[in-house]
Amino acid sequence: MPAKPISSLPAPSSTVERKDLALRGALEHLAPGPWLERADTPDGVITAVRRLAPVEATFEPYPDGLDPRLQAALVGRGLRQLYCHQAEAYQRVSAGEHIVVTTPTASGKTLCYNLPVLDAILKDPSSRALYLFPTKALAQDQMAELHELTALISAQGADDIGVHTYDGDTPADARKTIRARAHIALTNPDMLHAGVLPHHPRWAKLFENLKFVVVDELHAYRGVFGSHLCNVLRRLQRICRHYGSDPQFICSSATIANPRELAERLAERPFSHISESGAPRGEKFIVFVNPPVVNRELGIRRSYLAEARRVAGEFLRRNLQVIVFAQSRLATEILTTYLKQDFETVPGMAEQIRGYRGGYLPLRRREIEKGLREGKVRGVVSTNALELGIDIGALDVSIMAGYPGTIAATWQRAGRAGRRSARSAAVMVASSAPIDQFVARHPSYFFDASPEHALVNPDNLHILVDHVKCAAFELPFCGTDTFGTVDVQEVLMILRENGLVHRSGDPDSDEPGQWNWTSESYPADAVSLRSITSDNFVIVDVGAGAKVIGETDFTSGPTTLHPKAIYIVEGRLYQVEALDYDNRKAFVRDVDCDYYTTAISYSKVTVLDLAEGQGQVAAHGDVHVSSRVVGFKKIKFYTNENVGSGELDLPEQQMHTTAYWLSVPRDTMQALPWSKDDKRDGVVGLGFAMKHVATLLLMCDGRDVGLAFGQGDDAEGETQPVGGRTAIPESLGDEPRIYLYDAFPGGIGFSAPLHGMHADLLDRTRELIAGCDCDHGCPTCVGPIGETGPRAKTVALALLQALLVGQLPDRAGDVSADLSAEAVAKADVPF
Amino acid sequence: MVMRPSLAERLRAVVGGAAVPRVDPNAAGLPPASEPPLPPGGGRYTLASVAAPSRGERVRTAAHALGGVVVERAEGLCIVVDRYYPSDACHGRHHVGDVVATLRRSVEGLGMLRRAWPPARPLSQALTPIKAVPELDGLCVLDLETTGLAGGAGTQAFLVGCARIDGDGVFVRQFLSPGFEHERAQLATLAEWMADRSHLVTFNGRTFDLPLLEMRFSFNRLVWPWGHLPHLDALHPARRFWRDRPEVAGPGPDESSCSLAVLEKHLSGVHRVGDVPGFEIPARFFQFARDGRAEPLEAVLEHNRLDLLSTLFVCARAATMVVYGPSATDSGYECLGLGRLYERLASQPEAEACYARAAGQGTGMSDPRLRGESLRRLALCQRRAGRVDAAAETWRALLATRGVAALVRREAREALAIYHEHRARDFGAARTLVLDALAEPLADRHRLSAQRRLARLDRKLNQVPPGGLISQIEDEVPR
Repeated sequence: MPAKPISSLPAPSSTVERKDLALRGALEHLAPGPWLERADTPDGVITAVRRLAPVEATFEPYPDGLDPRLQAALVGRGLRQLYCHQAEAYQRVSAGEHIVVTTPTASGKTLCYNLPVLDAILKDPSSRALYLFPTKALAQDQMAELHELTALISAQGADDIGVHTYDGDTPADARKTIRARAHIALTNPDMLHAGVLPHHPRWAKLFENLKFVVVDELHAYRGVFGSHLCNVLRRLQRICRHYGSDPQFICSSATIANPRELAERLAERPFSHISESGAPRGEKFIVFVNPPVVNRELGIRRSYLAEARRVAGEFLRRNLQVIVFAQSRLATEILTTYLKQDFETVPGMAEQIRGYRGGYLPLRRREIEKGLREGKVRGVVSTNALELGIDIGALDVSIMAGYPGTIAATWQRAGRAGRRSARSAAVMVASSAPIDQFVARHPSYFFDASPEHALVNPDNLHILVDHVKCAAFELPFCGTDTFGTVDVQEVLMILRENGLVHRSGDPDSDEPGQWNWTSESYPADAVSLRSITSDNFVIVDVGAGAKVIGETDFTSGPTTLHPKAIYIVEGRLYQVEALDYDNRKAFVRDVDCDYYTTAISYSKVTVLDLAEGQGQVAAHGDVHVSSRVVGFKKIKFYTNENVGSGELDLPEQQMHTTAYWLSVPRDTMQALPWSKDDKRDGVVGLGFAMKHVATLLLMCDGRDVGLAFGQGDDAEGETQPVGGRTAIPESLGDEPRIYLYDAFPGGIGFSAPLHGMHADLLDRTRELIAGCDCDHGCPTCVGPIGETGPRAKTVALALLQALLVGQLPDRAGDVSADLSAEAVAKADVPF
Repeated sequence: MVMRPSLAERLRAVVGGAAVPRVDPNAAGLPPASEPPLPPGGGRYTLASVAAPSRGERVRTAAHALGGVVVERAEGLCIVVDRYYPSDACHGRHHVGDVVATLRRSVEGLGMLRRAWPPARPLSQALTPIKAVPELDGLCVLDLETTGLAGGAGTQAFLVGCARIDGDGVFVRQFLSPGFEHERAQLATLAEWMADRSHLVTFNGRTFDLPLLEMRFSFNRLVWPWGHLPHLDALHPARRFWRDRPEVAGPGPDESSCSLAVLEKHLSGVHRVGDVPGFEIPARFFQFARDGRAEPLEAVLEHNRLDLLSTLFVCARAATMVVYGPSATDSGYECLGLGRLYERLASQPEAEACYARAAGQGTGMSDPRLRGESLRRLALCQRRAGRVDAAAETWRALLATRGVAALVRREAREALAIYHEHRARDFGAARTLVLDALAEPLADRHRLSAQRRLARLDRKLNQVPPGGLISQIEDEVPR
């Protein structure tokens, strides 16, 4: 796409005006026709253009009790007064409350915690604070900002305030000084878990005087990571009690549905929520782009990367500063290359377009961040690495190549564009993934719904037991101690059976006694906060002299690393030559081929304990899942043709987890006017679509939820329930079940909420399938044609119709067939 | 339908087979040694209070089995085991009395060793004046047995062994925690007994024993009493003297280290019988904590006592050498190590004497590596002292030795070439050396610099008369 200079625009009188004009020009070009107050057009390429009106700032004067040196330093930095949320944060923290702040990107959120923390340190220099960031880079960024501020405070005649990061990169000789001198230690949960808590006596000074624990980017702690963090915070608070301190928590979060609940769940303390932002915001446009359909039969759309390239080009050639978010490292590199190519003819422009992702050296990253702040970098293509609060200033346009997966992340990325006064835009280009299509075609789902709930399950036994071990290592447990909601005394009893702890004290006396760690090991080393078990497969490239090129968690090992599988790292293809299951190693070799593989797995779900929904359509509870990879298929790149397959014999993986399931009543199945095979296809297609909608509703990754099919309790044992990607069951009987299970051993809390959202889940699934452009089913709705039968789409819709409308017990007579699904869903039907 | 497992069953599945190795309950302690004699005037160490039978029956039984007594404090119990090694007691082929006498003769050597490796101090802590010569009677050798090597709050020092010189013998007192809940009592008892000590000696205590013990004190909210004590970690001099010495660093891979066990074997001829392997020590203590049977711990206590004695013996040998200089040793490697130690102490002449002796002992013998390294260090010393002609002589001697490592030869050639080019102004000799150097495989960086030197020498050889100051400046244009 050649870049044409724009010559027809009138000469701008100022930068802001010029940018406003350029932005208008680009938007008018992208979305011709009305673009103010425009109606949604789900079938078009531009499915929605929404305008967010500008917001004025709300200020408050500096609070009376604030240390004058801190106030002077802030005034010296140009802050004549505070935004109202900053003042409120200060007041609530002063009143001893734990707070969680959710205000938009670039609203001065960091001052909400820096203000009370610095104030407390100035008033009592023995005070200490611990800041937790999900990544090392964020901690570095925050440290730079704090240093700037503390230098200004020192200039006001205050003693130096020690601000240090403490992470894996901290040199060993600096650590001792930091432990003794840091008023504020900036670290990450992983370091706290493995490097600080197990060595707490060295940190005695910090723990004795710990006044504040700041948790930034709280929304990042959901699922497994959040469940781990909760346990790390339990250990932290246990150690604080030992040293006689009781820190206050200050959290900040992006907009999610339940920030307060999440904070209370993680820290196990009552929180107040500050959500009213006083920061100003300029006018902003949000545009949804759905690439045009190129093959209606197969439901194939134009590549979203090509579409994102076109959109980015429109803004870049109007000299606007643009950030493009790609979904993977590979996509980042591809888009960077494309955009550089597009602007090769414009002198100096190609160099002003940069890529940014994890894996770049820190120095290069700092250089790009600085370039963005100073405007020297005009365009950056990034992974989610720039989604969190790294300071890159505010850009003109944010483009998302692919739906970021959650409403919260979308707003977060959109927030990267938009200065406080000028106009800005955010564009989401949908890929062909079901979730993307759903969002693009139902813009009001995005704009009107509340963002997702962040879920955690800190009492998952796998996670809990690991942290009980770490906690026992750190401080002996007393016979009356508690830790989470599971009876920790019972956990310790089991650990004793394995010789990991010992109960001391006189067994005959009434004294509770204490539990001590009796193993040479250092338990924190064996626990990774980013996964549920530390057991993993390593991938060894035998072509490069047995070099380890990657690792993957235990659960997904067999599906991605089975013999003959194609394993992809940064665009390079490797074939698995052998899988050493017992030693958790896969040996791969570089290959050149034009296909990838997808595993066919078989999974069987057995209900262990029903929590809710006896005899009803929807239920949830504990289940046992055994799964086995039985074969694989070879899929050609680009065309997605099936070009071969193979059989495999791998060990079965078993786990205890939780699941939500939907049982189609016998009557409904019998009433459907299709053949047995068609009905089966319909159930499988419905499950396929439900799984995607479930990940949308749960704010989780597609791999976090497993899908399996089975039969009702009565038919137990008669047929084999078969699930997985493509292993279509021979027959599902006349009372089939769709299981959506938590793909982590022990479960991380998806099932009960999913059961609660049952009506919404069916409703949205219907919207997804009914709204799909394809004729008989495609990967965007009920699954690729050829894998699902020709009637899958029709039957799935009929099933949904029956489940949503036709099954009203005792009221069937009143219910006409045209009663809208929405109305029924809202009536809270007791399915 | 599968039954939902109980919490205990699910927990068992999660914890699964992580069982720690158990000690064979019949694991033998050492055969009970004949009761060692008490120190002269042994009443000095008699412990005042002994546990009441009601509370610590189990602990008393254990203490008895180990030949110790129980100290009862408000914080809990501590088992204290005393042993006295009189002057005629043997440690390998040496008598304890001889070693004590050696230490008394060369006590200032201990101070020199410590000065060569000054402790890392926290910046805030004021330097306390330290006596140059330690008082031997205030010295304490310290060694821990721990519940693991990983460190961290969950690693305890269940046994703290201390040795001090007493008359012409050595007195050892060991503080054993009879259970996890008694750690505070153990540390408090230890701190009291250590109150009058003025110097600490350890083997690898700088990075392991002392930080761990400091952590235990701070874990128990007790004041760490020895932050100010001068400390000698015998591992550092031991590495200097004996790591490179083939006859010490035995043939097997297990013996190539500079561990105490290897050193004591070669320096004192100690061969331990029935010694408990280090990795088994934590398990023995865990077992004791569970079942209260102290017999398997006897071997651990004995292991600890032997470590203490060996540490003292290593110190005695090192101190003797530092005090008496190169004449105190017949080993070239010890001599070389001694030279480096003198260099650290800025004793240039002594260092040169050591290197000269180490090099001389290598002449014509089977160890050119030793001679090469000694001559190299000697030459560097001489050059630093400004005696460039002597240094050149040493480099030449080095080049005349066969079998010297290529790296060292290259360095010698380069040094000599520089000498000839700039000092002796003998360009022809310099050129020959550079050509010799280029005839051998060289790293790119060195080859480049040699070629540059050659080109410059050729230019100088063709110039008549040799250039003055300006050409010299041009010579040394940075690469």
